[in-house]
Amino acid sequence: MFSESMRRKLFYNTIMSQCFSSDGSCLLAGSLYGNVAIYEIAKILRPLRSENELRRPSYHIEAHPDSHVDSMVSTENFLVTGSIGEICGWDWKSVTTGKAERSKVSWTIRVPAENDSYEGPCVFSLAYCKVNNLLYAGCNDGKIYVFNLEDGKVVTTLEGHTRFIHDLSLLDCGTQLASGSEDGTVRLWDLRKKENTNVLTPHLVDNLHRPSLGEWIGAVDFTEDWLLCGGGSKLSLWHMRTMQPATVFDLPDHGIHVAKIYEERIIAAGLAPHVYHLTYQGEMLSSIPTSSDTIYSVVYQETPQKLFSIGGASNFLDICTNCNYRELTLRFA
Amino acid sequence: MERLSENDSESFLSTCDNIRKAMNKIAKLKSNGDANAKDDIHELQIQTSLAFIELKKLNRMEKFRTKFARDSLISSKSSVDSKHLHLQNLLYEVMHLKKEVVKCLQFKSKDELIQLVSEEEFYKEAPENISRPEITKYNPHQLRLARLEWELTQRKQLAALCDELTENKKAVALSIESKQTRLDNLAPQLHSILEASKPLQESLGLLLDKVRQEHHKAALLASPLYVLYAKASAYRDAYDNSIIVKVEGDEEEAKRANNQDGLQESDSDAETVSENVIEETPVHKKRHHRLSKEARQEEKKTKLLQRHPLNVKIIIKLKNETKLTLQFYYMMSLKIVTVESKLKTDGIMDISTGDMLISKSILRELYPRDLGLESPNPANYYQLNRYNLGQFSSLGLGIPYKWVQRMAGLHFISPDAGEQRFTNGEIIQDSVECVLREIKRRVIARLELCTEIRQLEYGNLPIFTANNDLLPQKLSTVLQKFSTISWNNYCNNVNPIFQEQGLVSSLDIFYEAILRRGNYELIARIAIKPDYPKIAPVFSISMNPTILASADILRDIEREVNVMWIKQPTLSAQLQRLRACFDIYLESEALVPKEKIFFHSVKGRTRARPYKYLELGGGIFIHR
Repeated sequence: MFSESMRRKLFYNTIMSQCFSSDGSCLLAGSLYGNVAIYEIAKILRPLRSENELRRPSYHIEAHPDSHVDSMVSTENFLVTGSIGEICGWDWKSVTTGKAERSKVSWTIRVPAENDSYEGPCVFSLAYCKVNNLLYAGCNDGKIYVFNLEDGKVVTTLEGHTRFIHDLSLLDCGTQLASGSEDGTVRLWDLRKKENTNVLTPHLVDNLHRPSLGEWIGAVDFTEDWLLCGGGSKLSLWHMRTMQPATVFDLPDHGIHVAKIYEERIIAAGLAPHVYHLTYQGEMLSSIPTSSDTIYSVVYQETPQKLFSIGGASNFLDICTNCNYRELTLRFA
Repeated sequence: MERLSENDSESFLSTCDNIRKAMNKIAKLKSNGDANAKDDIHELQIQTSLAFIELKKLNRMEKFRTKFARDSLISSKSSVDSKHLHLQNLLYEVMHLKKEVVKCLQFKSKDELIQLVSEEEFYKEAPENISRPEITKYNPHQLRLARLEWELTQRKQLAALCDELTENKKAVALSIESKQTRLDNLAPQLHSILEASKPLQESLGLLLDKVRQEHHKAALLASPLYVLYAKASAYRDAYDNSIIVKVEGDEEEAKRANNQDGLQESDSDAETVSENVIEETPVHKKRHHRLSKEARQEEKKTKLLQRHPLNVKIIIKLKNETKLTLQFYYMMSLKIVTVESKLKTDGIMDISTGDMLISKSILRELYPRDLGLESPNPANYYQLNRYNLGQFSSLGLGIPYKWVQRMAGLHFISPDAGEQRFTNGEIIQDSVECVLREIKRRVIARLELCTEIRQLEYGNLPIFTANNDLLPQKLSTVLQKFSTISWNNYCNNVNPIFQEQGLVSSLDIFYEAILRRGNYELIARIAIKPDYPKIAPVFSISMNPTILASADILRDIEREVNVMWIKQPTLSAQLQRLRACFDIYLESEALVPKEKIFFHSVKGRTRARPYKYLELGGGIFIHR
């Protein structure tokens, strides 16, 4: 039983970020109040003993007390969490076992701060490249810092955005990076030359701009051929070679926070109580209702268990084991 | 006689033979006709005659012998007879003796019924002259005799002891009696002394007598109320002289009720039985019975809901004229204690606060989830159901809060195990002291809330002095209206999830605040918890449609107002923060000119606004 004020606090909880553990056995979710909840996938998929029992996480970590867990990414050996002013690494061994509650940070990287700011630099988006062990962090000063996880030093800083970074997306081989920002642009970066190759401005395209929602780009994802982005502007699919919007998706949303290209289909979500699965042509494949009115994070994995997890502005995570409907709901706390 | 019969028989045979031979010779001779034969014949005849004589002699001998034989037979027979008789006599005697033996063996002696001490104990305890082990060891009969003897000696001893004790008892009883009479004689003397002391007491201003009367009255209270009375007066004496504790009600009736109490309990079962019997009576009698049955039902109903005639009244004086009167009643059949409370304020009641100060709401949820709607005694549910009496709260018999039961030392099993655990942790507070303190705190908090709300209704917000949670002072949003709303109105306008999640309930007090800046309007629907200010009010907000705020924006502001506090905030503090949030939101959306200092209008993937206030320079707002 929680106290009245705790219940109230959880009622207003928001799940900001999610990831899977490196072996795929655990699902992790980070909240607005700085906690990370750890679910063992095998355990949550087990049938419940009684109807009104709700699935809860196996462990909790107080990762960033008095702050948010703005972003999470999983590397081979560590869970990496981004918050205000710092990026922390947590050893999988301690996080996914019974010792999780008492587990200590394995390492911390301080994000370089501007001197004249009262607010520390926040890490809103993280991306990790396995090939060269580099971590990309999109921050609120509009810069993308590239850290080498060997020594935790900044390798490069990618500058160009004028407002904070909402989302980063990395091609598998680690050669290209896309970033979406509050300033309304999507920038593509060549990581070998360490330079900005393209800038997209969706809000300048007439049928994409939504003046009431603003210009910001909340989510970006891309493949060799296609780039998907959306935010205050409508969700749109761009052709990589021509850099022109190929498909504009008309969704009943008030802003896009999640856009993913997954197996020839598009997953999108944001300020709407649904997750949408679409084709490249814009046909709706399915629309999955969610517990949260706004969705900030959708993660998925194929092995060892196909699983989609949806988190947002509520104390609950929605889990799907296929693309069509919600399988179950997890409590954050 | 010496002759043997065998010889005689031989001689008989030979004689007969001789006769036959002689006859034959005679016959031969005669047939020959021989003359000389005559002599021979004659000779022969003589011989034959002799032979006949011989025969005759033999015959006599024979007869004589037979007679002799017969005589000897008779004599021997008679001797046999006498022997036989003797034998029979002896046999009979034997049989008789045998019977006697069996009879003896079957005889039950009384000593068999006597329980004796065991053999080992006997040898251990009995003196030598009784036990005589050298004999008794080998002779069980002697052993038994010895044991019986020992038993007898022991019994004699005990009897003697018994007599002695009875004597003692009699003596003690006698002495008690004499002492009792002495005490009885003392009472009138004491009374007269008391009477005599009365004028003295009065002149000295002592209240001994009054206290005694009160205590006498308290003795007639139902035991739970007595516990409550005792504890409360102890609290008064120890801590707080301003509290008045007294017993009210009809003493005589209480005496009667106390006497009946014992009877009632015993015949309650019989009553149910007789009731069943009545229900089975034939149909034609039904009309008659129904009337009586209804009357009886009514009577039983009143009996079930009967209060003990005496009640305990506690008056808590708060500042000035404000007084809280608590009256505790004991329900005799339901076995619970209820409370009625009355608050007397110094004339500051008005319509909007009236609801808040009525006694029902003021003590509600003094402890978490103690609503007092249902009786805490689980058995009452069935008792009330039997007479279709519905919920306890509808009966108007006072409110059976759980803390009242605890004050009166009654403990009931809660149907909710979780709650049980919950209250167990609270058991430390299980005393009159804590409850009274809590009540005082609650009433003061309520009065403060009333003042606060009155201020808000006039549109005044207090000036906040710096504590843990900083609040900005210069704000452009104004509190346009603050008024009370009904539960129904609240439900119609607020997302039902608040109710589903248990954040609000119909027992809260509801207000509506309208905030305005320029043309923009924000409506906050506020649920004030009974336990305010321990638990902060819950705000649910909406904005007028021209603002186009998404659900997330509203949620962020609500979170800021409802949750993000270090210490439980007051209603005014929350309203103040809500004003600030509304200002910031409108300014960050550039809907109104920017007046506050903040660096970025939105931050993070949630596009949060800078609601957090820092007192730097003229005060700045940053993101959380």
